Amino acid sequence: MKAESKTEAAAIGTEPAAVAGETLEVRGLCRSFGDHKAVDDVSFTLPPGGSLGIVGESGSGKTTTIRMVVGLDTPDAGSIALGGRERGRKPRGRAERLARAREIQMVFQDPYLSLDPRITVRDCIDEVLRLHGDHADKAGRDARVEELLDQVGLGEREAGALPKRLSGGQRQRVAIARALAAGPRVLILDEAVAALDVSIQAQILDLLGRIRREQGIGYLFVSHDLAVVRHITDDVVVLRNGRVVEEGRTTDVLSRPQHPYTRLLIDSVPGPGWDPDRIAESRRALAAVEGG
Amino acid sequence: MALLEIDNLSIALAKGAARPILDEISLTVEAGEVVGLVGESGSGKSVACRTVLGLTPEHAKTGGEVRVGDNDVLSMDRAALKQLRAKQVAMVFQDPRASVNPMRRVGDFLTEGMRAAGVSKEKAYARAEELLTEVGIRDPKGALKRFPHQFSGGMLQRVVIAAALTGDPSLLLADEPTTALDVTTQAEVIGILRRLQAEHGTGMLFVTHDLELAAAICHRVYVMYAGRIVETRTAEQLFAAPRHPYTAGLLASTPSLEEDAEPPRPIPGRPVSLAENPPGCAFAARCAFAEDRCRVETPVLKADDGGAVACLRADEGILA
Repeated sequence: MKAESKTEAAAIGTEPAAVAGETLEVRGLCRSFGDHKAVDDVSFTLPPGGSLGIVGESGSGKTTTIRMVVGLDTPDAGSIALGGRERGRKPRGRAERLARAREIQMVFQDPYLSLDPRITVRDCIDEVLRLHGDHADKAGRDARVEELLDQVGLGEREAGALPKRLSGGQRQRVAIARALAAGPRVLILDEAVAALDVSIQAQILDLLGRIRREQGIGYLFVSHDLAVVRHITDDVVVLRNGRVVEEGRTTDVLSRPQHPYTRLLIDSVPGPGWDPDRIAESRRALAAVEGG
Repeated sequence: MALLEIDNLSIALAKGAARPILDEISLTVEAGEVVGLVGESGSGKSVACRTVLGLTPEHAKTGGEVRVGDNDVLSMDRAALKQLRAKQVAMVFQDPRASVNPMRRVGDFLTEGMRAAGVSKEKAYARAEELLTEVGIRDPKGALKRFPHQFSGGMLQRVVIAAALTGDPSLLLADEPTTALDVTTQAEVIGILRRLQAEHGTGMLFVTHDLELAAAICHRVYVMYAGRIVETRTAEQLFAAPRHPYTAGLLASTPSLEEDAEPPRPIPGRPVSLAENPPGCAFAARCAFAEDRCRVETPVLKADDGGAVACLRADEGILA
């Protein structure tokens, strides 16, 4: 199945020229709102087909960062380049805007808000295929819709359904299929499993892992949940108040955190043996660092 | 006698549902005890929790009893319910912003209940100030004059907890009280809840979808699936040696931070919706251990070593 999808894409020849080996480079990103520096000199690198976790709490600047990466906001300073193509400034014209849109796609947190309630699953994915013009004829698009839905584990019954007839997990599968329809190099997953029940969350994590292995799409995985980040990312950056306070291989950062904020985040994750006193101690250590 | 005793509680919607929301559930909370009610969406955990305040879905058919102290909540009249909510049972909901009136000052919100109960204005404000100090709000005097939008989510949830404590309740219901909060804030708020609960000797029913959180703070845990309780035991036992395949599945699908932890293993399928009423065990369709009889015979909750489990195959050592 998966092999077929790749051959088909290649045969049609509308995939971006450099399919493999494109790095997303973010350097010195800044964005202020009034006096408030929401993002302050943020840099990171997502290697081709890699998976980078962006971890932080409310106000850390993670949402502002990815809004700039995907193109919903323009940075005050810094650069964002995918495969060397700069996308930090405003696009010139429709063609450039579309080209940028297809390179980086996004899956949002709440599948109850991110799908149009009046449009069936099939039409919702077909719309993306039409917009990006891969498949001129209806038959070609229909086949591709079916293939995409099959990749995310949905069938004919779901294809004809409106979002309201689907469960949260099924909706998130639709949102993933829709993002894949554009043929992106990078997928931004913004708390994409946070709203799901844990048994369903594991299904979606499984699915995301498989898609990355098979299609080599890079993930920017934005999350507050360290346990999820541990299992789905290779590298991680920890954001606090708009700045990167720690970065590295995910396993290293989570097993041997260097910054007191990372330590506080890790201690705060509940579980058996969870200790409020240790958390209070971590918090004091962080206050000492940030006060001085 | 237990502080809270739910006895064979059933709730069925008048129409539009194939199965009851709650199907003969029983649970107890003792004074000073923290009891977890864990389950996924649609399991009925929130409905069960709300029933303790006498909040049942409209036109629903109820059966069984919910006793707080000596009295059955389900047969209380308005005046008795008012007394119950003012004096005995308080609730903290998930979203603090939805729990307070954004147009009223925090001081009004905190003293409203006490004033209605006939406490003088000075005394009510003094008590409110004391409670804000207890939940760790700096400058409590100033906080009383501020509006909800001037507080962060974590700070506002502390205010809501303070408000829940104004009536010195013997039982606190907490329905996902930290789900909307950041993880470090969650840790702080849970710390406060647990400290206050211990200091005041309050019993607490803690509803959550987060097993790890339940493990961290509860003495005993009930696991719900499709409106039934499928397993209950002490938090330690439940996590060390679950006996229901659903509990084991939930644990395996929860990602862990531990260094050598396995990747999360999903439970296939999805939870049973209200429109479905499969015969036999509701979990059978997703269960790796299900046999033909599981799809026919409904398992009942059977007491075992230190707990109870509702699984036909529990004694066969399937999870060992």
